[in-house]
Amino acid sequence: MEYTKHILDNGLTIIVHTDKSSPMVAMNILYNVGARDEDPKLTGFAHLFEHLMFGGSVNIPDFDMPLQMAGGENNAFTNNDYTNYYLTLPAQNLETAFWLESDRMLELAFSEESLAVQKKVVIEEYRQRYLNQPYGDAWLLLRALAYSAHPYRWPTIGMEIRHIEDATLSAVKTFFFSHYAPNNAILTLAGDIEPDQAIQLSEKWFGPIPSRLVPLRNLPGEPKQLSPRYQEKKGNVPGPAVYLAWHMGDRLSRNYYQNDLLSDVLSSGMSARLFLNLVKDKKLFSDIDAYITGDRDPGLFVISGRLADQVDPTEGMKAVGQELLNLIEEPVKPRELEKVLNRMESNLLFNNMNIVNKAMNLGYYQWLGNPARLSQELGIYRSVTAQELQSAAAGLFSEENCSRLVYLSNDGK
Amino acid sequence: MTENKMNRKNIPEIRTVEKLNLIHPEKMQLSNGIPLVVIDAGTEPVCRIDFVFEAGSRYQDKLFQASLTNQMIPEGIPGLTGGEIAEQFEFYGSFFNVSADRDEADLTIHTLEKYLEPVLVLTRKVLLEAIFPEEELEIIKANRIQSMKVDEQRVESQARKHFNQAAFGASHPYGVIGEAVDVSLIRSQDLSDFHRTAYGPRNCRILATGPNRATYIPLLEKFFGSGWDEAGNQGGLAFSDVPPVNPVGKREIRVPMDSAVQTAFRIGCPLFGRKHPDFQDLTIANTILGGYFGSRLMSNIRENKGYTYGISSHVAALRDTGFFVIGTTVGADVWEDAIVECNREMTMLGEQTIPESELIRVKNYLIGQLQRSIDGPFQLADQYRPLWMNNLDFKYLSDFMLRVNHITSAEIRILSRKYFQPEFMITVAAGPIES
Repeated sequence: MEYTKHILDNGLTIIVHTDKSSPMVAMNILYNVGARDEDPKLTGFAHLFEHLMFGGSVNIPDFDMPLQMAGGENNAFTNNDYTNYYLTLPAQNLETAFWLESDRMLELAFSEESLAVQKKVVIEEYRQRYLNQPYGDAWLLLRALAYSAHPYRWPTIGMEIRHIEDATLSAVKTFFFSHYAPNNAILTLAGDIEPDQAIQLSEKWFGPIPSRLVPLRNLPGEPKQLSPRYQEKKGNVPGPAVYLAWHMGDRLSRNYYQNDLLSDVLSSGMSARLFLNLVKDKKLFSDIDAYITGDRDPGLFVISGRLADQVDPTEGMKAVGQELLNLIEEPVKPRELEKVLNRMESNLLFNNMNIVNKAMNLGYYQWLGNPARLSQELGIYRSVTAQELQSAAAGLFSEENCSRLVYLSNDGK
Repeated sequence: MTENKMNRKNIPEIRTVEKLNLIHPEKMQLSNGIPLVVIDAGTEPVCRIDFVFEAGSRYQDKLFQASLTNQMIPEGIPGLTGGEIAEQFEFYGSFFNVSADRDEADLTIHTLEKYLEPVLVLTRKVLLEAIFPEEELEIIKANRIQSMKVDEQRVESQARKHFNQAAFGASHPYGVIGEAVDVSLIRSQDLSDFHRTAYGPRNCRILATGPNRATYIPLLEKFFGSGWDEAGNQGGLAFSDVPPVNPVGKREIRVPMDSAVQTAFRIGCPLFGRKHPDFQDLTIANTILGGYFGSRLMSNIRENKGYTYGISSHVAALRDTGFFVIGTTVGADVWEDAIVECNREMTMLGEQTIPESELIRVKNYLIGQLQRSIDGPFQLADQYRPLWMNNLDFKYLSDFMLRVNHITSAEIRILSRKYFQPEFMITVAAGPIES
């Protein structure tokens, strides 16, 4: 995929991809700050802050209304590593996007009222997504179990509601000036826009924003896990579920690609091993999934599943263990490896077909170090051998590297 | 360029979009009469083929018959198990999906163009020769029952189910609530019967999307244009008409769920389908009420009061009918006040003319949405399919664009007064509340 890269004097990185098949432009801004950068006593802050980014900036009282006026639509998400804002609008109204996004990078309005309301909104989000759903808090518990030191031990929504209630406006200001800086952001444009035009508009709107002193990231590394961890949780759920996690390599390591493919061998599609063997053949699970967290720092390989009616979690976990043993003892057959690689090829292609995804993907790979990597991904996956998968499995699925969370219903079933 | 030369206070000049970049699909027929629509669009060497059947739950004799038939189609043909079928599709990196709703059921394939031929060979076999093995069915039934148990503990699911029942009637196919026992009663024979009736060529439409029609049209003709009737699927519609909508009569419904920490509610009523003369205008009025992030409901309930993470309203079209609904999940202590506020917003739209600036904003936003909704080959297919299934085409979208451009604030007020009337609404709340 072709792109042009340019860096402004204030440090803002700009990536442009021209796609004339669309009459729209997508603008994506990635800020290099996520939940991992939070104070452990004030978790959930990066995400709460994302909400405040819509509450008005220094010159513009409301972000959404002018964008709607320009025919635009936007959204944002926060994860453990970074915060991402994206919008699309008709190409002829492009300048409105520059006007809006540059003003909130320049300075927020910092309103007490907006903070008070967004705290309530985020608390309702916390309840709706994590507390008021069966198994909704499983990930909160699993992170805390699997990590002891690294800030991945808390989720982006925050460790507890209390932390969100405790957020203050002065903390909001400090957070803004330490992280929301041109030299800590990547601006990507895709669609009906030429590189020259994009760079000229960026100079005009983002150029005057001063660089800021962004504190160096110095996160505690996660010590190697030396013994198995286990936790049982009872809650209002219809039946038991299990969550198993193993520590794996970081996003740029070869181990990431190996484990991504291992998770596909186990659970990508209806012919994958866990589904065929444990859901259909042995009827132990009603659903089961394997996936990697894909974090920048060393992340987790996770298998989670809900047990079939009347099946004991221990029996289910034992069968999962046997599947993992098979990965260690026997290399994945050539046709099976070819299958997961072909699926990967399709996924990469289908996930890069519209201007929003293109802008988001280019920004993400720039954040990883190089936008060209987007086009190189498939080649890296295709270079992984069955022998590598086997030794990756052996390195990963050891007893001492595993955390197990067993979720049971209140009545013990 | 220096800071003081710039105008950061005012929005740069907005230019409205004059016309939509519509690619008009081409309608044709396979030689056995199957209607085929071709959307020749896109830049990547991929394609999507939708096989759509009039085989949704409204046509079933037994609850869950339609959705289980649909789900079980790729679960076995003579000589291949469900796992082996999946393995073949997946080997080609293609995505084979089935889905069934109230009106329609489909099989949809996304594939790299280079693998289209073997994928269509397999699709033909699966579609024509499905055998609905008893053993696979038992697994799918057990898992369906398990996920229904999870749904029973979700306030959103409960509010939705009970709203549909109240709006359409407990025995109406759009309103009926299926239970685990209904799933357990389904037999393989029920699925074979439904498959034979509903999945024949005379009940099928094909929508093909991708940049290279010269590749896929001949292949579709080769594999689906003949030899289908002879394979035993006689097809053709032999369905009874859907009974008239028959709301249960009760307008306030409470679903107590003691252990929930929030309350989900739905406010709405049965309405009409896409062809009703008020449908497009009402869609615009609904956008103002609860159809986008800047809506009245979002501004009031979320951005002003902080009662919820999100609230929205919809004018939804089904085949011959439709409904209006507001839906949200709010804090358990504020749900009654939130309902009062929703009713107030509805009434206000019928009583007070909306400010011109708000109307212009909504119009520009809607035109942007229209552009977005057709930006890309698969988006075009997503927009076209429901129109085509209702015997409409993209003229519907250009008409809608005209309505957006011309509708006045007075028309919106009159329409809102007619349809957004709290006293006609059914209100269903599910959460830690009393019945």
